[in-house]
Amino acid sequence: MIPHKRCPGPGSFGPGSRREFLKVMGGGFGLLGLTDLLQREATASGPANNPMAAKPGHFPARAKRCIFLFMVGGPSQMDLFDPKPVLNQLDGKPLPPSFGKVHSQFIEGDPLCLGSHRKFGKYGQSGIDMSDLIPHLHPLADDLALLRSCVVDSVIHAPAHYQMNTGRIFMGYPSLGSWVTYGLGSECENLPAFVAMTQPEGTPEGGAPCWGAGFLPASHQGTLFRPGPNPIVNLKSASPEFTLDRQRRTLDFLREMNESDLDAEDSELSARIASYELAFRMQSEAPEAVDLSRESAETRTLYGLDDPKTNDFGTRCLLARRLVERGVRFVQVYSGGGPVATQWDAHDDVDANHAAMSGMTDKPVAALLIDLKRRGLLDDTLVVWGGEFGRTPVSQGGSRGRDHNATGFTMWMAGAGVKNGTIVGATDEIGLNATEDRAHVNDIHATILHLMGLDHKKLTQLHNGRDERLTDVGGRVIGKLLL
Amino acid sequence: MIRLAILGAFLLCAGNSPADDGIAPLETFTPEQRSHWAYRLVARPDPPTVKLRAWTRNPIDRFILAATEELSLRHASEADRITLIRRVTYDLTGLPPSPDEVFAFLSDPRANAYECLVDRLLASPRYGERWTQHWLDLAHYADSNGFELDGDRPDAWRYRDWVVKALNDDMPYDRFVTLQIAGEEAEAGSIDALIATGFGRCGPREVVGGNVDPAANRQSELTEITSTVGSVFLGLTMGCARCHDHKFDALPTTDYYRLQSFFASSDLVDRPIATKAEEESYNAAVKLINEKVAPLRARMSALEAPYRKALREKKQAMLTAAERTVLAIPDKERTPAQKKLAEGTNKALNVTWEEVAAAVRENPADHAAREYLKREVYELERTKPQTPAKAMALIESRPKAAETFVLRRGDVKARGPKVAPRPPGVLLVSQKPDAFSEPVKPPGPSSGRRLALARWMTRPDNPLTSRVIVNRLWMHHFGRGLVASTSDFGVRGESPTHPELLDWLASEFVAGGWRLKPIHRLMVTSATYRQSSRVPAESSKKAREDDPENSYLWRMNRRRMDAEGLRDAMLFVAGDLNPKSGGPGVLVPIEKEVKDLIFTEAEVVDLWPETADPAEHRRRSLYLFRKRNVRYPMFDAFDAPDTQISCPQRGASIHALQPLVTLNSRFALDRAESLVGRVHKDPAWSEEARIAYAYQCVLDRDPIAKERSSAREFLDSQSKFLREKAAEENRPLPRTGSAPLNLDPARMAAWVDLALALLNRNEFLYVP
Repeated sequence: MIPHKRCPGPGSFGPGSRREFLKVMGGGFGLLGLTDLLQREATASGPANNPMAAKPGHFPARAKRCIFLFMVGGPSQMDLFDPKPVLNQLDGKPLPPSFGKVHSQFIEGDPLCLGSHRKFGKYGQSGIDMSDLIPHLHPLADDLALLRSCVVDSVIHAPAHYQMNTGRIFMGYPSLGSWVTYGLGSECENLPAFVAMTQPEGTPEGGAPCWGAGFLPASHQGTLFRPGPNPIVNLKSASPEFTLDRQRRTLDFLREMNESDLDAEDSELSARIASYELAFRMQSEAPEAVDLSRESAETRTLYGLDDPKTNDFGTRCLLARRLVERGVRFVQVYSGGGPVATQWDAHDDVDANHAAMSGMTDKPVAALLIDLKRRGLLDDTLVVWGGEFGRTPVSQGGSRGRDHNATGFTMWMAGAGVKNGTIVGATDEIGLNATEDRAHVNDIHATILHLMGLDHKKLTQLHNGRDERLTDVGGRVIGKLLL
Repeated sequence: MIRLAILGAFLLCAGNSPADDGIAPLETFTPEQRSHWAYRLVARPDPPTVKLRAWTRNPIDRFILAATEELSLRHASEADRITLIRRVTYDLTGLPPSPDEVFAFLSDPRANAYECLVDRLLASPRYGERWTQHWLDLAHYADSNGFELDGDRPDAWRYRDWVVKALNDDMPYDRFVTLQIAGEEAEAGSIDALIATGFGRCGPREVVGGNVDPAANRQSELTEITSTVGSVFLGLTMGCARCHDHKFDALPTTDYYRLQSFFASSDLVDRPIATKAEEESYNAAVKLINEKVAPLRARMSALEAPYRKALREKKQAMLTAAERTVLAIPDKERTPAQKKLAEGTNKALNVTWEEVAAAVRENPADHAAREYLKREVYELERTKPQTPAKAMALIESRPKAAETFVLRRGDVKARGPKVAPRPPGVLLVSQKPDAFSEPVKPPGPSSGRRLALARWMTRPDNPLTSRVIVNRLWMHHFGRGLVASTSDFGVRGESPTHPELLDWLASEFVAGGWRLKPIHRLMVTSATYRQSSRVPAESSKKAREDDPENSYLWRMNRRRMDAEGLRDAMLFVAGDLNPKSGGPGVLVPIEKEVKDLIFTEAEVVDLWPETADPAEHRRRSLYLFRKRNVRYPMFDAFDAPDTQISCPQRGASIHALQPLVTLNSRFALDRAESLVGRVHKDPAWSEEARIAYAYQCVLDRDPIAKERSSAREFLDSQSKFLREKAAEENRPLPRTGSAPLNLDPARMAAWVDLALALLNRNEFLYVP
């Protein structure tokens, strides 16, 4: 028999040493990262009982945390950020064949061009193009970096949601937020490291896999936060009789039992005992984190909480700020979900739809940037805005609406490490295809990871024989977006 | 880990270039490629000679001991009987033993009491349920399609029940495999065989309208089944070879497509299997309900009509001059562009349900009436019986077998050379020349391809099939496979810790007629399995240092219960478990936050129509309805796989969302209350006896003296606290639902806390 020894030596548990990680996890007898961390970092870095202890990235990070504003349904680039005078001239006419075929979900045959009815202007010293749909963002032009050449591989909502979140058009892969917390851990002990907040009318088409952890440990999955005093499922006891002081006493009794026969070397059971203390603290701290009554009237007004139109998305944006302020690593805020009326999915009438959706989000998005900036948080917080794809320059079946377009659309970034007041990439004269600095979703992810101090090629997990990474076999950091 | 430099090392056979006939030539393999342990034939080794023969109970132990003797690792002592019965009962049935079962085992004087216990458990119907869950993890079974619409699969459960029965009957594994891959080819006319092919239907499937490329869609179906078959049955990461030659294993892309071509003519078919009488009675019932629904719908339309009209008129008033002009032109006179514009404009005039609902909401009386009608219709429609039975099958019904081409980089538009069905070459070269027989067309519409694949897979000399499955059993019993990467036996996977033992088990398995139960029995009756998992640090210092991960099994591995096991165990110890087997998935109550996540664009009254009978909510987790995009918080927290891809081994993470579920959820509180009711059933008992019984129910043992006193003290102080708190707040303490009425409410409430604490004890959650 071949002696088959495992190296027991201490090693780094950073993102680079996935083999060690796998051995621990695949060890199979319930050992996961937490216990390993306990053993190796107990002496090194503070609280030994934090399963998501903060870890250094691959290189110094510009952004410590990220807020991803996800516009479900696909916002129209040529009605928001990418003016197309040639398209307006072609309005109502058949698409000239020189632009090539339109690949979208529903359009068949010879489509007709649909010009934009928006008024565009150039804003800020940098002269960033924006339409009249988003007036609150105009004064912030110099904080934004537009990326006008975004590309994904599917024109259908769910697969495109999966890809914008996980790099693949399939379900079941780890999402951007879970990769980030896998790579960096959390700076916050008493709140989840990765939080997702959805539209109350419904989830995006892709559903829970959009913030799933795939084959990464379950502790890296996004935790869904709801507005109101109970943001997390089961944060409060299902029965009001079980108050926190009562539970504290029960937990003390439980702890006594659990510790009575505890082997001091048993880090796994110690970790489990610690998880109860963490859960207890979360129950008292999470409600505080989401208590918006602590915000000043000025701030509440800034986010539009006093207006029924903006209250809902404004609440989520304000929550996002409160969460990153408390050290939550990755917050994803969804605009849109459920019925078509509450999505950016403007098939029938792009003006009516986008006026409604921008009306709900423009003020809160601007407020978030202003608020982060004045608190000094924008220096180390990355803000990303975008949908799963954009929209076609042609009308859907002659209507006032646009179909899905995956080959050229706009996203923007702001904050830590982003070269602000810049426009990267371009689409053709009508906004159909990216023509300059094509930015595939893998590239966008590589750039976000880069800004957070992670090398997308090194952030890997061995799964089914393959070193899986967020960017699959692609990904290139978009240098023009960086300071 | 040495990464073998075999990249691109596939040699093409001379004189057979792809240009000749468009058919991809066969590859040959270097001796180095062929020499990988998993590709070589299984040789039956003799169990080695060992010094400490007295320790061994069966041949497994001799293989284990030979290694530990060589490394001078000292074995742990045998676990006590309570540990043994908890361990083996959970392993084989997924449930804890009852206090009565523990008592019977402890007082069984027979020398083979443990073996008798194992035999009883293997014969229990609970065995099949437990091991079906493991199998469904691999198949990534769910009751819905996933993706955007996540449509329900009303007949998926028939496959789940087929697996339960097959495992309980100890169906030989070669047949188990054959029926799942080629059921209808192997046993034409058998409904069960048809249902068994549902294996290939378990994974997610995208069903969506619009311009979906049918070729790309078809390819993703084939990718799903090919990758799953490769990893589940053969432990090959075939998926890696779809776009390029496998980077590490001797699996060229051509072999990926050769494997895929076995399934190229197979379609995803939902075949009716209901009798005529069943169809008729279903149709009659539906007709009756529809007749009741029709007038309600008519009332709804009448109610909505004025609103729709007003909404449309409002939209018409908003039309632009250009749109009006186009609409004014008679259809026949419109140019093609005008036709399109008119169509689009008409679409813009459509009134959606959201607009109607919003408009009606302005009038409270109409809104109430509309909501009432909606609810009435819904209540009537949900009384419709299950749709007539269908088999979700993966079968062939094409007149002509489909051709398969190598796709460059996996792209359906980049066709390469043609390939024919054939197992991976690197395996064939180790086998006898006749190991793979070309498909023989059976009578009927099939090509016989999948049957040829199944025949090859279940040949005794297939080097992978038997090794892979006995290794999976080993992993579930011992916590880690002899090959730790249970779905990857390639060069990049882990090498076996005990290669001879793996081969011995594989050959024993095949020689025993591919039956799983005798292999389970061998494993769980071994001395290795019976070791204690707790070893004092002093006595195992050397072993802990030399083999800290316990790769050599010098002690047993403790394991955390998995998500379903935990839920079932909580139901069981609380006395709540409904043991009913089989049937459609049960929709148990879910948290509102989870329900809100179900995606729909339609107006649906209830997206999660709970199963009406509450007794059904207490059934085993295997029978819960698994909607792919709706994740039960408890399962999610405790590492249940997400059913999107095949899951060979679950994680066991520890994080703060777990205690939130087991302390705060309605499910946990209900179990604690039931447990309190269970220990208070007999009014004659002393509190002392109740405490002892609670320990017996949850932990299968008596409390030690210190635990008794600490439990009593907790009840005293907690009831005092609750009483004073209630007095302070000037409100009565609520009664504990299931406890006798004459007991002090404060004491009962304290009991619920005690029960909740017991259910959260590490000792309960971990299999010793």
